[in-house]
Amino acid sequence: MAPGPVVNVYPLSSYTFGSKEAKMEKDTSVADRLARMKQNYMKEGMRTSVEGILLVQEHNHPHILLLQIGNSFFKLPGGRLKTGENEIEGLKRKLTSKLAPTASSIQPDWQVGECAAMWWRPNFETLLYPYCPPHITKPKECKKLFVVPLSERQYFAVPKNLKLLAVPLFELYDNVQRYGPVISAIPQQLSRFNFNAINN
Amino acid sequence: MEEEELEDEEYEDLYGDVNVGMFSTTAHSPSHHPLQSGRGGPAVYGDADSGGDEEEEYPTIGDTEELQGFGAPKEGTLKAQPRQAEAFHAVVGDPQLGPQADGMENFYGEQEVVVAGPSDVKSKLEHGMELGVLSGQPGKPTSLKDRVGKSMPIAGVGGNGGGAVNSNVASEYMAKHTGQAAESGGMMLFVGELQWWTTDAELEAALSEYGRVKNLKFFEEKASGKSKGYCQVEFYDALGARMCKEKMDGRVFNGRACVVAFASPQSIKQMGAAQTGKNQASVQGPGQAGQGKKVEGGGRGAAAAGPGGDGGRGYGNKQGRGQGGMDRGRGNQGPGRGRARGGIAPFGPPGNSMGGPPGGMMPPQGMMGPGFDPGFGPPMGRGGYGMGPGGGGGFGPRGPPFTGIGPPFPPMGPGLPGVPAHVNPAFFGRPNGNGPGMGPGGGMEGPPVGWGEVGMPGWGGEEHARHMREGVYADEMNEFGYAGELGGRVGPVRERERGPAESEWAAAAAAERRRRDERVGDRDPEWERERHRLGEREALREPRERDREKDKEWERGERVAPRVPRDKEDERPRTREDDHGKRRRMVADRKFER
Repeated sequence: MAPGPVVNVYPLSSYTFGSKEAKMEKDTSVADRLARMKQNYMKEGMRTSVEGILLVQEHNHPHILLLQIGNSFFKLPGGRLKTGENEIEGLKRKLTSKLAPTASSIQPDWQVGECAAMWWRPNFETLLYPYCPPHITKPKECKKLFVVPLSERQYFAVPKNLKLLAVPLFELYDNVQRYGPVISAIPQQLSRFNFNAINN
Repeated sequence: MEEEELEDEEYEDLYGDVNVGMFSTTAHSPSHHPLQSGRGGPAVYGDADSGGDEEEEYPTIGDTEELQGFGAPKEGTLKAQPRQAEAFHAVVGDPQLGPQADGMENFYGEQEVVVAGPSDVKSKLEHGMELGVLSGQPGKPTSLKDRVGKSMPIAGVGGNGGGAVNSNVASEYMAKHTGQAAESGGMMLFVGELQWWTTDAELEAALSEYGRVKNLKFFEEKASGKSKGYCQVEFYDALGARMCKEKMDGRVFNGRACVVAFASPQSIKQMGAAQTGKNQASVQGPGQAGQGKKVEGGGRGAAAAGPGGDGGRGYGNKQGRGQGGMDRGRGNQGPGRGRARGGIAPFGPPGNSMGGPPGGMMPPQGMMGPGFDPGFGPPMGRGGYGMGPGGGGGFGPRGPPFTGIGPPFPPMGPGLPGVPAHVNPAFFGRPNGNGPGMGPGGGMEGPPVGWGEVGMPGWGGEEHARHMREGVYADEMNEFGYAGELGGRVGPVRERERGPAESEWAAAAAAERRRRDERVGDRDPEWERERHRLGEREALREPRERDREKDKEWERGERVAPRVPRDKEDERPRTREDDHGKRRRMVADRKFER
């Protein structure tokens, strides 16, 4: 069996979670978001966004850290890259922005791993596909998901308006309804990884 | 990103031609374009603006704004506009106006223009020509000239979408006076019969030869993002649109001759119908048609043709769902049948107004062939419904039903069968025969909940019941027992029967159920076994269905509206399942932005 990438995953308990000031969404509605996306597209071209799959383990099963907005919307930590920004650097910036304490004295050292998935947005709509449809030559967004193995200890500061959850892979699997096509497909994308669950 | 731009010079040339043409005869002699659809009036466009939900449900139509043009008259309407020094450029030879030229003569005398259909009050005419009305008669320069220079009230007929450029006042006028559908200002076109791999760049390059393109929107299958093979084009000016329609129609892209039609609610549906119909091929059945027919009769009422067609289809679906009366045995017949009928009806009065491109009518053989129930013959024939006239036009003769590469079974888009992707399924009213209200135009009512109730009764497939209870795979299951995108997409064969609204409701229902249910580890072996069984589904379902009937009914009980007697309950299992799969997909898609 060909060795896949090995990722050490530590128990949830080895991490500390605090809170910080709220980080509000820039858009108040889907329509706003898409309108803003369109404006940005006109100015800067295709948007590239990056998101991080942060893994912990419980009961020897990998869990992913998800930010929950409100009661029903989940998203991965990450965001849009600035024009010309490097993907890895951009992701680190976003992770820090979302999950690191505001005081910059302790900046976590994010280790960005492999790109697990790429999703494409062919139109200014909410639909994403894991490929760019063949008739589309100018996709509006490309979203990249990176596996971010965590170090053994880390402190996360979660914005007050969000909740950070550790969601097991089996909960995401085949659960498009609750988590959307991107997140619910993560278990498949991670299936080639070998997770080394380390217990304290 | 590179932009497709029309060279200014080229654009000027186009304009220049028109100018000249106006007063001389010409090049633009109004060809006798079959009028596109019989109907005019706001109602026709009613459903075009499914607006609301489109971003979540149906990607393709995209911006609502694009549809505004032929949507219901947005800005008020037409009124005789006092004097505006504006030129109306796309006049002569406008195909939409052609046959009615005579009428225009008189009209010119009238000083007032009343426009039916969507109109945008502003009408900006080019070239400083003042026209009271758009005349399709190139050979009457004198009369035009007489008018030019006088301030004539100009009907503000709006284009679609931007309305920046004047669109066809004349067309609107024509519609009113001749019963022809207004061509939404003449700036919107539909280009169909494209390969699914024909790219937007190729199309833009071709379109730019005729005018400056304001917007190009492909209709896509929501579940896969794959192109449905047709798109909506908006030009900045009606001339460009007209040139494009005339010249580009039939042009071969990637080995397939395209079809170009002016946008109208009918043509959208026809395009959708044509594409999906092709895919469906033999899936159509009489049951659906019959149902659709009944509903159509009642529901369509005054609904405009286009929406009518769609509505008919929708009705057919709804009816089927509500009653469970659809002939399940035939698979998903509804859309094709309903579509055909609906599409034809509106055209009834004006005769075959389908013309070339907007064929949309599924070739009878494609739809009716397999499993056609002779019993439906009579209903088909009545009331001016005929598969023949105009039916085979356009897309029909264009090629084999489904030549693309697609799923092995009657491919069906994840969206509503035969309904343009932009139409919000929730807008289809209840199948309870609300009458006129049901019209697609008026279809905005009928909240999903209502739908759901109606549809619920019919729900079959205890598998579904089980799935829903179990919740884990609930949202992804479809009749084939496939979870996930692939299954979801396949499901449509059956889902179509249900029609859009019900699916949406169903999805919502499924979602609710899911939330209530436990999700983890509830898979029961029997269900799992079935998940991967394509063909056996039915077999398994049948016996079980009877057993579980009660379960399902109980589960859905709260949503069950008085059910239309279900004659064909036994044959219905698929519908429910289709719906089940479909709605799940829809819910899932809808709920998530990412």
